[in-house]
Amino acid sequence: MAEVIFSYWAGELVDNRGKGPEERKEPEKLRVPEEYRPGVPIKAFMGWDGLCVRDPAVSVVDMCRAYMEAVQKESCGKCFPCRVGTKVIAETLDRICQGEGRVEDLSLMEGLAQAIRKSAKCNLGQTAPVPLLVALEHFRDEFMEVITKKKAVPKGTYKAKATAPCLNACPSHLNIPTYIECIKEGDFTKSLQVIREGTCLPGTLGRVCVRPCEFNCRRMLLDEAVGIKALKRFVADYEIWKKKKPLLPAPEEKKDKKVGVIGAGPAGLSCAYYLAAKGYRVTIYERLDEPGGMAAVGIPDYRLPRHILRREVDLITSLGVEIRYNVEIGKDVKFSELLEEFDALFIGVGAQDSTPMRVEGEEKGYKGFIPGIKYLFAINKGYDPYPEGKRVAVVGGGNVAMDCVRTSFRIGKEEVNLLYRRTRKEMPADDVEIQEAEEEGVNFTFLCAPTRVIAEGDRVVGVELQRMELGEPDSSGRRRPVPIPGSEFVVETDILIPAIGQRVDLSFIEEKDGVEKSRRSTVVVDEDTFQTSRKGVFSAGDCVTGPDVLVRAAGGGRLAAEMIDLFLRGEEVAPSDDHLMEKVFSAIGVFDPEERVTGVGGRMREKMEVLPPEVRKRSFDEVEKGYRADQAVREASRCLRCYRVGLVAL
Amino acid sequence: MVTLKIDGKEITVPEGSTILEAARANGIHIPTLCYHPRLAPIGSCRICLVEVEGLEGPVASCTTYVQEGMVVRTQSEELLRLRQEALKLILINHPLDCPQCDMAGECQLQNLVFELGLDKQDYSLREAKERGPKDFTNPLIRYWPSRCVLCLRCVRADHEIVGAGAIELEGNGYEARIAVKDEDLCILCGECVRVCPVGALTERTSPVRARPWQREEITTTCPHCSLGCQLRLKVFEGKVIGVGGPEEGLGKGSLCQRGFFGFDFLNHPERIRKPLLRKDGSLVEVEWPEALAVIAANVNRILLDDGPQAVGGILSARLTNEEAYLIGRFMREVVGTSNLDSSARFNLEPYRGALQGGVGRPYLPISLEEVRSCDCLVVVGDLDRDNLIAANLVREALTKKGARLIVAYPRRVHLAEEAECFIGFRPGDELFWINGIARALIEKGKGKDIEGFEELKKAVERYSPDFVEGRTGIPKGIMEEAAQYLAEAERVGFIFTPFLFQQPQGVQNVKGLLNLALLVGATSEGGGGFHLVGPQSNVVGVTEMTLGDGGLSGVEILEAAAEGRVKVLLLWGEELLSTFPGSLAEKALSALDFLVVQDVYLTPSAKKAHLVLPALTPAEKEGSYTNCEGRVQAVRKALEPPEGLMETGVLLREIASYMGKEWEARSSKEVFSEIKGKVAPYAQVDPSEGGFRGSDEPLKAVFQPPEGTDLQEEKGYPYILMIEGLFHNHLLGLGGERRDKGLGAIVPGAYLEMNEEDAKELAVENGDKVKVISPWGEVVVETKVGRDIRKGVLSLFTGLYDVDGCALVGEVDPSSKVPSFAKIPVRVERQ
Repeated sequence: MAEVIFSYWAGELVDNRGKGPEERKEPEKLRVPEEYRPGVPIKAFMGWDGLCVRDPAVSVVDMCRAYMEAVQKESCGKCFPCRVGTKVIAETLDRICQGEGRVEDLSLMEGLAQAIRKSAKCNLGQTAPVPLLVALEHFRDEFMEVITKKKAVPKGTYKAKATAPCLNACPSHLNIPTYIECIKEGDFTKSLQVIREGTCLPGTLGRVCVRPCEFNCRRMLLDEAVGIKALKRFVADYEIWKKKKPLLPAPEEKKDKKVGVIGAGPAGLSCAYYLAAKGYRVTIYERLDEPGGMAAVGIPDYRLPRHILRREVDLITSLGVEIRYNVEIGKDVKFSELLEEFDALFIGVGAQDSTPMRVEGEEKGYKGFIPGIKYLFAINKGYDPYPEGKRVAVVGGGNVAMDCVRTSFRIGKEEVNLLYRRTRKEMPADDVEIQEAEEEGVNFTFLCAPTRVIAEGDRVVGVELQRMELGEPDSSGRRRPVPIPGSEFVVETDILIPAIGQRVDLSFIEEKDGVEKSRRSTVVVDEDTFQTSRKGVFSAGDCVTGPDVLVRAAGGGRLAAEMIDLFLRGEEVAPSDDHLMEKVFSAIGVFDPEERVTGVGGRMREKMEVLPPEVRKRSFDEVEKGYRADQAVREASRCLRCYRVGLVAL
Repeated sequence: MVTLKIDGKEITVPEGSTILEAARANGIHIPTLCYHPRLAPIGSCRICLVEVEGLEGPVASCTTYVQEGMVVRTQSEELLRLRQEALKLILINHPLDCPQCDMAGECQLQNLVFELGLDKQDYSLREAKERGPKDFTNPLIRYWPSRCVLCLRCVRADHEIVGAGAIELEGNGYEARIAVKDEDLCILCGECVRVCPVGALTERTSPVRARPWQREEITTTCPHCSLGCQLRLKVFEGKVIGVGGPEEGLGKGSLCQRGFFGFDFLNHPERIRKPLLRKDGSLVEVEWPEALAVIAANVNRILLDDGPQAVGGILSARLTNEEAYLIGRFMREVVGTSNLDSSARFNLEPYRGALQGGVGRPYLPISLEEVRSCDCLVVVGDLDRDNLIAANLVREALTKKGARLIVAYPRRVHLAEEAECFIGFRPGDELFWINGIARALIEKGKGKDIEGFEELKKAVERYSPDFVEGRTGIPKGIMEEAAQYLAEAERVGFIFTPFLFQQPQGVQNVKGLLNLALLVGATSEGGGGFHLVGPQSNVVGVTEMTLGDGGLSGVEILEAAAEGRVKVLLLWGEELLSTFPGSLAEKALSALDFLVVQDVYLTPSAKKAHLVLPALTPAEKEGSYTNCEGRVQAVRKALEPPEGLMETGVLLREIASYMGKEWEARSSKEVFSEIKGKVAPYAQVDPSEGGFRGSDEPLKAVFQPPEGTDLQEEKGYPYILMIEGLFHNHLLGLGGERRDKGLGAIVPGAYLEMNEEDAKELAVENGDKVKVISPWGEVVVETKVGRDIRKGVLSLFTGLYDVDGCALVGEVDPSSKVPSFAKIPVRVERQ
């Protein structure tokens, strides 16, 4: 564990220079990872709130020079202080490092840095001077030495990247502040182009993404987080409303290599899109008769209209991707055949098996006992799996459970219950879903878990539950439900739907295929390269992580495509610097909920029109109407553009 | 409303105002550089920083919204220091161009340096920026990179106001530059030049330059199209050297390529300075007494021999209200004839007729400004090319209201790119989609309370989506979508151009579109209006000043002349041969006994005249125009006319006196007083205030069901031709003679736009010359092949009358007497 020589971050100063071993402290508020890559240690870090030095060989003066140079490269040029001011500072530091510094340079840079910090238009200019000011304060002697000695300082090795709290939180690392700024400037087409560099499913994500970005949005420290998801949806819809020809990536020259993709869900579709954009020939094998995976057959139309997803899939196939439907790998085609036929493979089968509740009566095949995924599949195909049943009870607390209860009203069920073993606060489902379900009239019963299925003949008539109370937190951080003995009670119902989780079905992979599976029956991959234990076979999405969110699957699919491209070109399959830098930033943490943001708040999010509860619960019409152009522009203007640069010395 | 304190002063402003707007509205000065009232706040200069109590640092007042109880300070030592720092950064490597820079004396950078008391520069950078000037998006604009402060106003104006996207900010950090992304996208509106706060973008229309304190600035109304934007003519040593955009009027400072760049013709030295009389076959200069004697003698002779019906007059639609009124009175009272008309008819008459039937009055008292706040708009025409400011208003509705847009035209115009529905139809098929949408709206329950509902319902019954698609090829889905948007909207506006009615069934087309407007409440209170925008500055005024009592219309006068029934024709500024049906005009002018033409230059009509009288340019007279909304605005004199040229009133007095009749010459102000008394809708108007003429009587609402939409196809003429860009100001250029050396020099020459499939069938390639033949004439023109225009339709853009498009025109709508310029049966031969 390399010791920190100096660290200043989040107001915490740790200066171990000249201190004995007992006096030295480690910073608590700044945790810079040891290594950038295996075998490459991080000697120092400079970022938007300060800096940290671990190796005495690092020249803080040169690091400042490199940092300012990186800032200049990132500066959008749209305001004077950042565009010109950081250039003046960068040039001054460059001169100092070449041995031509002057003593006046220091106070000049200090004054200018203060001015830039106070007057810059966005967070890039506001944060860029901070580490320099820290360095000038605490390493002034080093600066003076370089200046007076008039000797050039050798250039160190650095990696720098601009990030933002939202960008970092996004599993696909979409370039959020830029695409929002395009919307603010009325250039909706360009916004969509920027988005498509990171995902091929903007209309889908704009409706169903769990939006970790919004939970890391600095605007919430002023008033309310920016509606990033809604803005993404707006530009995707705008292209449709105005009948614009989609601007898709122009495929580079066609390459010979062929890639096979298993599963036309978000992971597989994303992987295929980005590979096709690079000119590869891609074939997707899909078990069902339609594309989209869980997004199509799991998410109901009132959240994600089919035509939106279909259109996005059409754009993917327009790049030359072939999708073969009704082909199940393992049954219709063997996995080993694919290994023969294709130069590389991507596994994106998702997690579509329902996790059993492990209660008595579950395996009996009673009429009215329908696992959540199967229930949604049937309804999305257009039929009620059990029309005789009028009362529904769903067990679970995630988005699938929400989809099950809300869909039940829409197919005409009269009474709908949700049974969850913890309280509302711990439910993993999207809060908006829970709220809309409450408005539509779902009965929520908390702190209860099923013990057995109650049947009469071959039909479900009810479910016995035991009351729970919350005990100590479990591995997810939520308080564990503890059964209260003797507290059994019955909820009468015709339909019982377990929706407590999903599992991955990897039975199509045999041992001889050489693809390692984990104990939880997920595909084992390298977390940075997405490559499995078999060279040339990659995987991402739910079948790797277990049931997770769509945006992570889509992001994984795209990153895997980059890795497959490296593999097929015979290059080292290794994550890019951008990827590695974001990992460093994630470890350090980009969003600071305690930060005091200078600005005037009081501008809440634009209200999106929604269908009223009584109208929407009986139809599959889309509930949320989306933003109008003027709403989108106003909402986009609330974005603070929180770019900031982080740099590591290697 | 929100109440806040700025510098101790308590003020109240509407919610949603920025601190800067609040300050400006209350006379509190905050220095700015990148802020511009026509643009959304940019926030690039950081000069407008203010301190807000409770915040740790300053905020930009242009992008910060006011809050109840906010306490703001606009001046402090810290703020001054930050503003000076920003200014120092801008001034790094700024060239010492002030002595020769166009903006000297009105440069915002100069003003800021002066105001903030900056007298030293602490910073420097090694690299100097490229000096310039370089060509920008077109030869008339130059860019000086070294002077550019990258305030970004030009890029924002290009994107926000006109939606062109021709220029962009390129590059990062200090390398960032304003770059031309695609010069073909530039529409020459000059907005970038007008908004530039420094001398980084300059226009070079005039070789003569003058400092702001050396020149005079006169605000007048633009003579080009019927929107009547306000211009600020910059005059130096008797010449107009530039044009500015004052904040009044529809444009609020925005102008189009004609308004901004098309002013050189006002200075042109080639004009007629003395009367020209035809002697022995050629026109020779004579003195005024001789000219006046000749007119009087000839007119009197014909009046004696054949009576007043043998005399006719045709007025230019760019004469002022006062001139038109006086000429009208002269023709009626001194000459005694009611044969008086103008080409204004071709750009107005059917609109008046339709409104008279539909709302009980020949005009609508709804301003075009209402378009801004519509949530659904219907546009029929190419607004960006012909009436840019109207297109800008549409764009405002799109961005500020999220309005839905329906564009209908045979060609995919620029606005269509932002439209939900684009209806690409053939000229002549209007009534199919119009009635199709009417039928859909009636099905959705609209229009039940309006007079004539049952008749309209029956009349449009057969225009089902399938029927319309079958007959016109317009996809039924598009019409259903359009009807849906119209039905849902709260405020609908219609904007169309004369194209709609310059067809044999033109009057029916306008009535049909008006029915749609009535169905969605566009003409009632709170509606977005039913607006006609067109190419000539005073179609409304000239028409309303000369409303006749019988008498022949323009085309009828020519027919009568050709037959020898009209023997004397007085053309007041009208250029007949370029704007009336060609062969008819030729025949008529040749047959006349005595033709008098009054114009600025020797036009083709003038060359055929027996007597040519010099005329004043629009910058040499005082008067007023009435724009398409009915707004009466002042035309002001900016230049002195050459010696000997008379104002119309004086000229008419002289002619009358030589004819032995009494006539009083009065100033334009006095004439306008008379107009107020004699022309009812003008009773309450004062041109210097730009008020609207009109009455307060309530509007009616009556449907006018369509009659007979089945049209015959001309055998042997498989294509439909529409002539576009006609009726622009002929003073810019005529028939290859580009008189205007600014805009006139760069307007492209004539071309025939053709769909690529048609081109393939004709074995024609882009740029080939073809001969276009109609039943009435032919022209040879270069082709432009593309995908924007509907198959089977051809569009002839005549440039600056570079080809004689009117040679192809012959058919006239019998009910309106408007020639069919927009639907001409033609065939095409390769050359």
